Amino acid sequence: MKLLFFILRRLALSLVVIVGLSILIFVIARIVPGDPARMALGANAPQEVVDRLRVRMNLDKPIYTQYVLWLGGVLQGDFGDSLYTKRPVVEDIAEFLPATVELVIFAGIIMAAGGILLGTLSAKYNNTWVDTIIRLFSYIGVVTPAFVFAILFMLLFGYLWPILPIMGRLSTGVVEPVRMTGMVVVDGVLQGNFPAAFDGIKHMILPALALALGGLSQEARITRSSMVDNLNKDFVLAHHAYGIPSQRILWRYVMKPSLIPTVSVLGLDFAVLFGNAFLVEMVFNWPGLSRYGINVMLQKDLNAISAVILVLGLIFVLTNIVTDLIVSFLDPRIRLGAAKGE
Amino acid sequence: MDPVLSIQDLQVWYRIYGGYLKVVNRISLEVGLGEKVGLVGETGCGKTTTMKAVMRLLPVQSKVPAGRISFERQDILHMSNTEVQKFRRQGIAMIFQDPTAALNPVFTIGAQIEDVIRCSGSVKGKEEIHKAAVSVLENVALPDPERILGNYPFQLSGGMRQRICIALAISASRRLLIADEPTTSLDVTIQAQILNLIRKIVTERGTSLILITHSLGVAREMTDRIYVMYAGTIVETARTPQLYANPLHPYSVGLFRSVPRLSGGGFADGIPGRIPDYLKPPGGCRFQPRCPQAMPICEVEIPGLFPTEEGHTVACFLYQPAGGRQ
Repeated sequence: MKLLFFILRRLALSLVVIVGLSILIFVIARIVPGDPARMALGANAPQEVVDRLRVRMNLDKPIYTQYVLWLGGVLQGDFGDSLYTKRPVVEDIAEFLPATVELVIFAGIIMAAGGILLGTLSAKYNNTWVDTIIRLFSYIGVVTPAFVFAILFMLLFGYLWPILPIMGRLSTGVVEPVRMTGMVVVDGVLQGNFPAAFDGIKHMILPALALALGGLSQEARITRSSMVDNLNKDFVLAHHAYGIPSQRILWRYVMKPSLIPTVSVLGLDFAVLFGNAFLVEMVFNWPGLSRYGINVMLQKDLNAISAVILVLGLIFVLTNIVTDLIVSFLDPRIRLGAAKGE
Repeated sequence: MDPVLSIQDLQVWYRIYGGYLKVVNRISLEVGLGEKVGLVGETGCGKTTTMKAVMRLLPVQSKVPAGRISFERQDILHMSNTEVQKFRRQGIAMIFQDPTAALNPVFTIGAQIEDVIRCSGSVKGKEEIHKAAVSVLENVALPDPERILGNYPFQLSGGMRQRICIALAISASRRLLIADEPTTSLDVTIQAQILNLIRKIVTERGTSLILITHSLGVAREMTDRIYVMYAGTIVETARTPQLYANPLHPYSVGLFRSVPRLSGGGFADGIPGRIPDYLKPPGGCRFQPRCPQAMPICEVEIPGLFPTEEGHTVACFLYQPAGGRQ
C-alpha cells in the first residue's frame, strides 16, 4: 500500500517534470534561428509554398497558441508529421526506439555487471596489484568519452583485427526476424530464429561496450570505495567473529549495503546511456532513435525534435523511479522511513 | 587443570607510515574453565587489540612478531583459515562495544541470527533454525521474538540491540565469551540489565568470560580475577577482592583514585599525562613518565611481574623482592 502510494506520488511529480520539459523544448526549438519550413522545402522553393507550409504547421500563430495546439495533438497520441521523413513522428519513433532500447539495455547490463564485479574485486584485493590495475583502468574509463571508445573499437576490431561486426544490426545473409518488438535479439529468440539473435548480439558488442565503459568505470570506483568503507565496519568483524565464511560475508553482508550508492549512480548512468548513444549510434551506423534525433535536429524538424526529447525525458524519469525503488529495496532505513543520519 | 585460554608473551604491532606501533607488548594471561576474568585499563591500552588477536580478527596492517595463544591446547596463531572459522563457530564468541555498529544495518535480525545458526551447523532445516533463533532470543529475555526477528537493527533500542548481539554470541554453545565493553554505549539503567544477563548466561552454561572494561565498578561485580593493563602491558594481576582491598601498582592506585564518587567532593585527581606514543615508547617501564613514584631504574629496565601474595603479581620495581631480581 505504502509502495503503491510512493509510486503514484512519484508519477504525479514526474508529470510536472515532463510538462515543464515539453514547454522548454517546444520554446527552445522555435527560438533557434532558421525557418523550419524553408529548411524543409529547400532554398529554391517559392515563398508562397513556404508560407503555405508555415500555415499548415501553425507557425504563423503566436507561440502559446502553437503550444496548446501541439499539446492537444500529443494528448491524442499525435506528435505531428516529421519534415525529414515525411511520416508521422509516432511511426518514426516506433521504428527507431526499439533499436536504441535494445542497445542501451545490453550496454546497461555490461555496465552494471562489469562495474560491480570489478569494484568488488578491487575492494577484496584492496591495495594489491589487482586493485591498482582496476583503479588505473577505471580512471581511464571515466575520463574517456564514449565516442572515443567507439572510434578506437572500430579501428581495432574492424580494421586491425576484424573479428566483430562494426556496422548496423545484422549481417547480410542473415534472415531478419519478423518485426514484433523491434528488438532483433528479442524477436529472434521469440521466433526461434537463433542465428539472427546471435548475430544481433554480435553486432551489439562493440557499440554497447563503447557506450558502457564510462559508466562501468564509474560504478567500479563507487562500488570499490563503498565496499572498502563497509569492510572496515564493526559488523564485518562481528560476522567474522560468529564464524560466517569470508566469501559469504563479502558477497552477501558487505555487498548489499555497498550496492546502495552504486545503484543510485547506476540509475543516473543508465539514463545517460541514452544521451551518449547519440554519438555511438552515429559511429556504428546503428539505426536507433539517437541517430534519428541528431538528423532531425540538424534539419530543425520541430515535431520530431520535441517528440524525441520527450521520449528521452520520459525514460529518464522512469529510470529514476525504478532506481529509487531498487534503493529502497536494498536499504530498509529508506523503505521503512527511519530517522535520517544513521 | 589446563586453562581454557592461555596467552604467552604476545606482541602485536601495527604498521604505519614511519614504523610500527608496538601496541601490545609481551602480554601473558590465562583464563580457567568457568572463570570470569576482567581486563581493565584506559582507552587505547591494547585491551581490544589483544582480544582481536585471540579471535584472529586483527587488520591486515598488523603483525604478531612474537607470542603464543592457545585455546584448549590449539595454537590459534598458526591455524589455517578453515580452522579459524571452525574455531570461531565453536570456541570463542565475542560481544562488541557498540551494538549499533556490530549489527548489519540492511539485514533483518532474523536473517542475521539464522545465518549464524546455520553456519554453526548445529541445527539443520529451515523450521528448526527458525525455532532455534526464537529460543536464542528468549534466552536473552527479549519480548515477542517473532516480531523482533522481522525487524531491522535501527528499529530497536540500544539495549535491545546489545541483547541481540549477546544472542548472536551465545547462539552456538561456545566455551569462552569475550565481552568488549558491552555496556559502554548504553544508558546506566540498561547497563545493569545487560551485565546481569551476561553473568546469568555464563554462570548457567559454565562458560568462561573475559570482560573488557574501563569501569572498576563493573569489573568488581562481574569478575573473579582482574588483569590491569597499561599501554600494552599487564601491570597487575590479582583476584578481584585482593585488588580492590589492596591495589599495588601506582597505575592501579591512580585508576582507583580517578573514579568520581557519588558522595561528591569534586572530580577525582585522575592520572596526569596520557598514554605514551606507541611508535617510540619510553624506555623501561611504560608507566614511568606518569608515575609519581618513579625511580632511576624504571627508565632503564622493564620490570618483571613480581609476586606479592598468593595470586597477586605486580610489574613494578617497588615490589621487587629484596636481594635480587627475578
